[in-house]
Amino acid sequence: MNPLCPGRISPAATRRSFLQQSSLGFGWLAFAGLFGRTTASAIPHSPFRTPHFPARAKHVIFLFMDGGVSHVDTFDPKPELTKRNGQPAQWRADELSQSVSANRKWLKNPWEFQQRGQSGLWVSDLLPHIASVADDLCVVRSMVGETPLHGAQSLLLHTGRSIGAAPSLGSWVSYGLGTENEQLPSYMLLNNDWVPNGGSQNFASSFLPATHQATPVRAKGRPVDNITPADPAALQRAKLDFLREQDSATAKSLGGSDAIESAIKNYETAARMQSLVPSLCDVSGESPETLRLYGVDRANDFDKFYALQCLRARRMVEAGVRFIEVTCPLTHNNNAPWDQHGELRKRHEENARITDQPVAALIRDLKARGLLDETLILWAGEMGRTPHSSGTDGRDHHVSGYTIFMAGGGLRGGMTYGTTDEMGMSAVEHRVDIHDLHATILHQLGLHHERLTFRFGGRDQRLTDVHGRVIQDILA
Amino acid sequence: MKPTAPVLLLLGVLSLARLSAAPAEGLSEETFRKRTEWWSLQPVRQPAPPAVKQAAWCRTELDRFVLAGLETSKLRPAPEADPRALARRLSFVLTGLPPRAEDVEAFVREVSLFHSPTFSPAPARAGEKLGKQESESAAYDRLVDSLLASPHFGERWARHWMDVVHYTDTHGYEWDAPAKHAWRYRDYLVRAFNADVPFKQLLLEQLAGDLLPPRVDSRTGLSETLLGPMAMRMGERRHGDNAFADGVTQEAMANIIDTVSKGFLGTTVACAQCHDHKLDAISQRDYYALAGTFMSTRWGARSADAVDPNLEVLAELRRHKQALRAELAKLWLNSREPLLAKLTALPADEKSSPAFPDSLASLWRQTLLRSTNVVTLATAWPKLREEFQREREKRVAANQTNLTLLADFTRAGMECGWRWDGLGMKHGLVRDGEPVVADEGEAALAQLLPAGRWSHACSQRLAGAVRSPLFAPETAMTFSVGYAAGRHAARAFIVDQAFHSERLAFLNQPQPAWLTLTAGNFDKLAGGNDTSRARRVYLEFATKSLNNYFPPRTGYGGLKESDVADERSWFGLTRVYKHAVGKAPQDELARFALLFVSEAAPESKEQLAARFADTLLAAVTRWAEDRCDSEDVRLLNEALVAKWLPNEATNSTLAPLVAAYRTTEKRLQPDRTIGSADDWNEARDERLSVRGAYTEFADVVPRGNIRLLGGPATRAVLDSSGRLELARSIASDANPLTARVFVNRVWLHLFGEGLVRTPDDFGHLGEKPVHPELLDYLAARFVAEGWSLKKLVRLLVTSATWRQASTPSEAARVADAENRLWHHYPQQRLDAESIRDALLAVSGRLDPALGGDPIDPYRTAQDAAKRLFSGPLDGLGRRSLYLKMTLMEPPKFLALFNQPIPKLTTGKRDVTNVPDQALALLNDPFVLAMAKHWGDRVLKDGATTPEARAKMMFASALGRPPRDEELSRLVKLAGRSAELHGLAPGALMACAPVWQDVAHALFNVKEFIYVH
Repeated sequence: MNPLCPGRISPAATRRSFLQQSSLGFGWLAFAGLFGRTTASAIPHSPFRTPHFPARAKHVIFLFMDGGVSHVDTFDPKPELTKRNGQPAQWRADELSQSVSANRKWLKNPWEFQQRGQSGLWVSDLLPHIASVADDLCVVRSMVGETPLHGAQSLLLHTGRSIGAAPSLGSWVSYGLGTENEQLPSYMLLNNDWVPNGGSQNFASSFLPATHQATPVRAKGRPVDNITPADPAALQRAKLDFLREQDSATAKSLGGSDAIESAIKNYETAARMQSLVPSLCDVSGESPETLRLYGVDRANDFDKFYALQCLRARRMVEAGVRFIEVTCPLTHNNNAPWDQHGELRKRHEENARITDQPVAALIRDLKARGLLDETLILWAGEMGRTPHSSGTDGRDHHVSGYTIFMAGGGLRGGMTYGTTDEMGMSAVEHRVDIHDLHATILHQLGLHHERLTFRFGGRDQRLTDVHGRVIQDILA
Repeated sequence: MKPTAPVLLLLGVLSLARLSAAPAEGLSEETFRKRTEWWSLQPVRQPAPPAVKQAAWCRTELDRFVLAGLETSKLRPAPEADPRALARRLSFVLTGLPPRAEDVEAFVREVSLFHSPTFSPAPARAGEKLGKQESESAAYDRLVDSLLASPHFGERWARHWMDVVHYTDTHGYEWDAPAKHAWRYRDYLVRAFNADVPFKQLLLEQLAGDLLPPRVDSRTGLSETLLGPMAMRMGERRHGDNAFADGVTQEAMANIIDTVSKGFLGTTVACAQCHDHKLDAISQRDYYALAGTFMSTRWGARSADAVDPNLEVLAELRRHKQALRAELAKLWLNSREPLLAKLTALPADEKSSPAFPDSLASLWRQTLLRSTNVVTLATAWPKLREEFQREREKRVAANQTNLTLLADFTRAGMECGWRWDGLGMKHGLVRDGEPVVADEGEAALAQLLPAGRWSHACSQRLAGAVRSPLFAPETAMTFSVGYAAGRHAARAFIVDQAFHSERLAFLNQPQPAWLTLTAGNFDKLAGGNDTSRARRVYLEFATKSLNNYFPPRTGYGGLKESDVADERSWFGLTRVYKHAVGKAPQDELARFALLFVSEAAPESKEQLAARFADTLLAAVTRWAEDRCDSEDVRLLNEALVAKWLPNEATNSTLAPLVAAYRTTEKRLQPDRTIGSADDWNEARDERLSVRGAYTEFADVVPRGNIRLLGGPATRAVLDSSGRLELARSIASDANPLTARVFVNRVWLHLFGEGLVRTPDDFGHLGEKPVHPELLDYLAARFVAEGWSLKKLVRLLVTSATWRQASTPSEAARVADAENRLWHHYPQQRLDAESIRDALLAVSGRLDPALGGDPIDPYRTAQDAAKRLFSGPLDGLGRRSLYLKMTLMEPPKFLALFNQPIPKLTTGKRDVTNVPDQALALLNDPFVLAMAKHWGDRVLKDGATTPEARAKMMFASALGRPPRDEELSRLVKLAGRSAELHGLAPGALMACAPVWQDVAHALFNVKEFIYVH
C-alpha cells in the first residue's frame, strides 16, 4: 500500500559493492539463477544466499498492450452481456470500474467468439492470428488491479507499485539473472519514442544499479541513441587508442582507480556495441518467409514497424537478451493506444491489425526454432475495459476483473485460468493480482520472488513487496 | 451584511470525531522514550577540538577532529594536493564549472611565490612552515572568496538543494502538466544562496513563506517568501481529486511529508502512513499530525509581486483613459441625429419574443414588430408598457424574496470571506461605468464595466483570482455569481486541496451575466461512488497565470496551444447571491424605465426613436458625469454591441488616444505568479487511515508537529494549519536534527561523502557517523554563525582535510579502505550538470546568464500531447540548471550521468559507470557540436604550431598543462586525424575538423569528468 516505505537511502557499503560490478552486468548470477548451482560462496556480495530452483525460462518478452484491451471483446466471452445489451448496468462500489459519464448500459461484444484449436480456447474474431496459436496460450481471465487509472496501473504492472519509484520487472530480471551476452544490455525496450502513462519510470532501474534499466530501441530510424559511430572506424580507433593510453596513465598516476579503470573498459564495450546493436536490429538477413510471417512487408508504417520490433525481439532472445518489452504505437490523438472510451470498433480493430499478426508470428517462430520453451511471452495491458458503457461504441477503465495471456516459458498452453462473473465485471474465481503475476514470471525464470531482494532504504526490497504467490495451476 | 457562516461552514473537528473507529495508540511511552535516546535526537553539543600531536598540519579547528581520528588509527593524512588540482577542485565544487586555464596559472604563480621547492607535508621547522602557510593561505583564501562571490555559486548550491526538494518543471503522471512557474522558485534559490540568506530563513520560507512577513528582493521586487513554498509542490501530482478517485491528494501529501521529513530532518516519516515506524520514534499518529497540517493548506497559485512594478504605467493608462472617456462622452452626446437615422432604418424582428426583450435593441425591434400592419403603435405601446411594469414588479419582488447576498465585490472589504489576488484585481475595483479600452481591433472600447472587481480594468495582461471560503460538504448549495470573463479565465471547484482540479471550466462571457453553480454534494457529481461525505470544497475563479492548473492537460476544454501562448485572460465579479435551485437573479429591467415613464404612447416611429435616443442619451449624460448606475452601464453596453454609439478606434479624435493607451499598455509587466501555498484559517485534523487505506479510518489525530519535535501545536493556533509552527520548530537553533542534517549535506557535496553516509536518514536505519563530535562542532558553529552557508563552505574548503591530495597512502588504503577517517580527498566523478556545463564552458559555448524560463531539452522525438517539445541541441549554451525538468521524460543526457528522477527526495546521487556513458561522449550530437564549436574557435587562437595549440586545449580541458608525453600523444592524434582527413602536411593548423577531433578526444579523457 505504501510506496514511500522504500525510502531513498542505501547503506553505503552494500551499494558500492554493486556499483563496482555495474560496468559489465551480473554474468555470474546467471549460473546461480539458471542452473541452480549453489555458487553463492563464489559470488561476492550476492544477495542470494539460498539456492533458487531450476529455471524453466531464460527470457521474457513482454508485449505491452498499452491503454487496456477489452477483455469481454477478446478472451472472455459473456453471452449474458449480449443478452442484456442496452439494459441499465449496475455494480457494487467495490468493483473498480470507471464510469466517466452517467446512464450506464451493458454493451455486448462487437466481435464474435469462436472456440479455437485442439484446446477449444475461446478467442474472438478481433484477433484471428493469435486465435490460430490458441493451443500455446495460457489465458488468465481473473486479473485484478488497484485503481482504474492508466498511470497507476501501468506503474503497477511494470514496477509492482502503483506510484512507481521502484525498479521495473525487467530490471529485476536483469538484476536477478544477469546477462547472457556482455556486449548487450540485458533489458531492451522496443518502442518508438512513445512514453506510456507513468513515464519513463515504467522502465527505470530505480534503486537497482543503472545497468539494469531498459535500453530503448526505436522502430523507425536510428535504433539506439548514440549507437552510430560519429567517426569513421579508423578515426574512432585513433581516438580510442589515444584515450586508452592517456587514461591508463592517469589511472596509474592515481595509484590505481577502480572507477577510471572500469570507465576505460566501458569504452571497449561501447565500441563493440556500435556494431553489435545495429546488426542485431538489422533484419535484412531474415528470409522472405520470416519477414512475411511477421508482416514486416506490410505497407502501413504502424503495421510494418510493430512487426519489425517483434522480429527484433526474437533476434534479441537469440542474442541472449533477458527481458524484452515491445510497446504498441499510438496511431491517433489519445493518451494510450488501446484506450477506447469511444471509437471502440474502429480503434480496437486498428490496434489488432497492427499487433495481431506479429504477435502470433513471434509465438510461431520461437516455437519453430525451439525457443518458446525457454522464452516466456507476456501479453498484457494495464487494465481491461468496462462491460458497460454510456454509449454504444466505447468502454472505460476497468480493473476488477480482466484478461492477460502468457505463452511458452514452461507454462501450460491452450488453457484458461480464473473466471469473471457473468457480466465480466469481477474476477470471482482464482483472483490474480499483479504481484502474483510477477511472482509466477520470476518463478519460471528460476527466481524466488521472496528471495530476489535488494537492500535499500533499510530493508530488503522485493518486486512483489510483501505480496505475491506463484500460480501453480498454470505451470506445465 | 448578512452572516455567511451558517452557509459557508468551516469544517470542525467535532463533526468528524463521530466517524472514529478504533483508536490508534501509537508508540508506548516506554518505546518512545527508548527510541528518543538515539544519538541524532540529542541536543547538539559544542565539543572542544581534541588535542593532536601534529597540530601544525591543521589549518582549521575541524582538522583536529579528523587528525585525532587518524592519529588514533596510526594513519597520516595525505599530502596537500597540488595547486592546480586544488584550483580545479574548488571551481567545480563551489560553482559547478571548470576553472579557466589562465586563472589556474595565475593562482599557481601566486602560490609559488611562497612555495618552497623542498616543501614537504611533514612539518620540519614549525615556525618557518607556519609563515609560509599563512602566505599561501592568503592566495588560496582569495581564490575561495572569489568563487564564493561568483554568481555561479548560487546556481551550484541551488542545484544541490533541488535534489532534496526533487525539483521539476512538470508534474508527470499521464499528461505532464506544468508545475506552475516552478522556475521562479529555482531562481529564488539561486538568489538566496548567492546572497547567503540564513539557511534557517530559507527553511522557514519553503515551509511557510506565505505566512511570514514578506522578504522582498530589492532588485526584482519579488516576494521571496511567497516563492518558497513551491518547494513542497515538486514531483508527481495527479489530475482529478479525491471525490473522483480517493488518494489523489493523499499521495501528494505523502510525497510532501517524505520530502520534508527526510530532506529537512533526515527522518523517515512517510512509512508511518501505514504503520508505526519499526525502529525510530515515529508513530503513525505523527504521520497524520503532519498530514492534517498539509491537508489544511491550500495549494493555489499566487501573485508574487511585492513591489507593484506598474504604478507609473498605470497612472499613465488612467490619464489616457480619462481623456478617452471625455472624448467619447462628447462624441456620444453629439450623436443623436445619426442615432435616430440608424434606429429608423432598422427592420422589425420577424418573430415575437415570448419573454420581455432583454436588450434595448431587442426591445426596439420587438416594438416595431408589434406595431406593424394593422396594429398601431398607439395600441401596442400601452400593452408593452403594462407588460413592462408587470414584469418589473414581479422580478424585483422575486429577487427580494429569493436572494441572499453572500459576497459583494462592488465595495472594498465586503467580500465576506472571499479573497482576491493578482495585480489585475488589485487595480480592478471600479465604479459603475469604468470603460475597458480594447487592446486590439477596430473598437475603441471593449465594454463598460459595472461596479465590481475586474482583472482587466486596466489590461488583460494583469492577473486575477477570486477564491471562496469552504462550502458545507454534504448539502448542496446553489448560488449565482455576477461575472463576465474571457480568454480562458476559468472557474473550478477545488475538492480536498486538489492540485489539478478537473472540475475546471473555461469561461467565455463577454457581457456581465449570472453564473449559477451548485457546490457541495460532490458524491452525486462523482457518479454516486464517492466514499466520503466530508470533502473540503471551495470555488476558484482565475485568469490563466493564477490558475494552478493552466495549461491543463492538452486539449482540455478545447484549449489550443496558441491559447496557452497568449498571456491575456480576464474576468471580474460583482456580487454573489445564494438562492434556491431555479431561483437565480432576474434582470429587473430598470434601465428601460425612462422609456415607459410617460403614459402617452409615441405616435410614430420617429417619436419612438426619439424616446429610445433620449433614454440612451440620458444614460450617456450620467456616464459622462460619472454618476451612472449598473443599469446605465448595461444599457450603454447594449448600445455598443448594437453599434448605436460611435466606438471606432479609427475615429479621428479617438485614434490617437486609443493608440496611446495600447502602446502604454504593452509596457505593463504581467504578474509574476507561482504555485505556492495559502492558509485560510479553515484547518481541520485528519483521521488516521487504517493501514494507510484511503477509505478506512480510525480516530482523528490533532494536526501539528511530530511528537519527537514537540508534538501537536497548542490549542491557541488551532484555527490555522499549524504549518508556521511546524516550520519554526524545524528551522530552530534548538532542533537537534535540522542543522546536523544540513551540515552533513554540505560536507557531502564538498567531500563526496557525508559524515553520516545516509544523508536522508539519521534514524536507526541510517549509518552512525564516525565523527559525531565533528558533526556537532560544525552544526553548532553553523548555527552560531547565523546559518550562513558561505561561512560553512569557507570553513570546510580552507581546512587541511579538504586540501589533501586524492591519493591515499598504501597503509591508509589497507587500514581504512572506505576512507571513513578522511585520510585523503576522494576522487569524484563530476555530476551530470557539471559534465554538460564543462562541455559548454571549455568549448566556449557557455552563456553564463542567470535565471529565466526553462529551456526544453533536446529530444529525438517530440510528444505534443504531453508538451514534450524538443529544444536546441546546445540548450542555447545555458547551464544544465536551466534545462526544463519534465518529469515525464527528464533531459536524457543528464539522466545518463545520474541526475535523479525527480519524484522523490535524493540526498546522495548514484554514480554509475556504464557503456551508455561512453557511447554518449563518443557519439552524442551535443558532445560533437561542442567539439565542433571548440574546433572552429581554436583556429583563431593565434597558435603557430600544433604543440602550442594542443597545449592550450589540454590546459583548457583539464586545468593543467600537459606533461611531455601527454602533449606528444595529443599532437600525434592531431597528426593522425589530419592524415585520415587527407590533409597535406602543413594544412593542419587551419583545418577545423582536426581540432574538432582533438577537442572530442579531450572531452573523452576520463580526467575531464573527474575531480581529484
